[in-house]
Amino acid sequence: MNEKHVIEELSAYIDGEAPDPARIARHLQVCESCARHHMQLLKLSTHLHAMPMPAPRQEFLTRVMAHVAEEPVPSAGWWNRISFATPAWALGMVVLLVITALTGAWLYGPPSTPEPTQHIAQETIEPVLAPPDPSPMEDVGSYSADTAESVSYDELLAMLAEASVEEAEMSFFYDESDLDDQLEALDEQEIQALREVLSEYLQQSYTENNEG
Amino acid sequence: MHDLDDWELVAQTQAGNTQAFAELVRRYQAPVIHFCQRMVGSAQEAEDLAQESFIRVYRHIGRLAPKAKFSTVLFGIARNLALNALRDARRQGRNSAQSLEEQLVEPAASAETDRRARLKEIESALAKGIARLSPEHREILLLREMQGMEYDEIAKALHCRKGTVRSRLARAREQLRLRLVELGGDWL
Repeated sequence: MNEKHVIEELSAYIDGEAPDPARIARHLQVCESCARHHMQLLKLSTHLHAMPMPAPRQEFLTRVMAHVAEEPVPSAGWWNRISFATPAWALGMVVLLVITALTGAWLYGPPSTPEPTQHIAQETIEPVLAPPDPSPMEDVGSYSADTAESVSYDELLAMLAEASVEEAEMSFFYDESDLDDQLEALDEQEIQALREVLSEYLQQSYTENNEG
Repeated sequence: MHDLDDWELVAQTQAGNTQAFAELVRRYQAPVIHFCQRMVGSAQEAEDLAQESFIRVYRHIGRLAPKAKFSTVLFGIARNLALNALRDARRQGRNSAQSLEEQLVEPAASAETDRRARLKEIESALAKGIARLSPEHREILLLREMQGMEYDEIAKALHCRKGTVRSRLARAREQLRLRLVELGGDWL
């Protein structure tokens, strides 16, 4: 027997996930040891599938729904609204860029002379918050010209970071394909949608914070 | 309600229909409780973990989008809660998985037919073997073999790569196979 044994590949093979199933099948026809191992894994799988699943107690559903009744009514969040229209993770990257830019601006503070980092921050924040004119860094947190009070960098950062953390919890829905390509694939309309939704989200959070 | 798929029920829940969420619970309560019970051992703790899993899904349902199967989301959360519970149990010096093993290795009732007795014997051996696996091997084996999840789904639920799923599952099966061989039955 010159051929390499395939025991380590058998698990993937029985699941239809082996990269070269034809080679494994050929080997199993000529190697008694691997064939026996294969048969054992198949039996193991059959036994596991056959294990009984006990019926839940009737009170379980009642108990869960009683807890659910105490929870606030769910609604489609800001992220969900855009994630249906565009690749969620790509938008996540945009949010991350905004946060990164904000972090940079917050860490280094508003200087007397403009620096490249702050240009980036302001350029990124500006369309999101949609101020009518380029504003000084201190005013970037304002949501509109009518807003009497500005929101500090800390508050802005906290809001965006909170949104980002919530999304991270659900990160397993995101594709792991090429992020850069997907980010570049966002068209003007999608970017505009992101700006509007983020702006709305920030406005809501700001209002809630003020009311609170 | 029965004919709606999971994500349609999610959308209805997002629109405020709690009956849609109740249908999701009805659909998945048995497999989630079963998964948790195999993970942590105690039936009562498994119910608590399953309940918490559903409540967390409800709490986050506004942000859920159909990027994966709904069951992937649910089992991803249940798995995190189960691992946390195991960690807590270990810190407190409890071995809850062992308690499940002890419960299930009782001999089959003498009145049962041979076939039933044999099935019971196999089930006990498997439960014993599963309970002795590491939590990482146990969860991946349960998700694949009992929940029938594909490698891609498992990778999403466990936050790992598909290649990791392939190799970890192979090790988990091999560990369980060896345990059964050690137990000496003719099940394999």
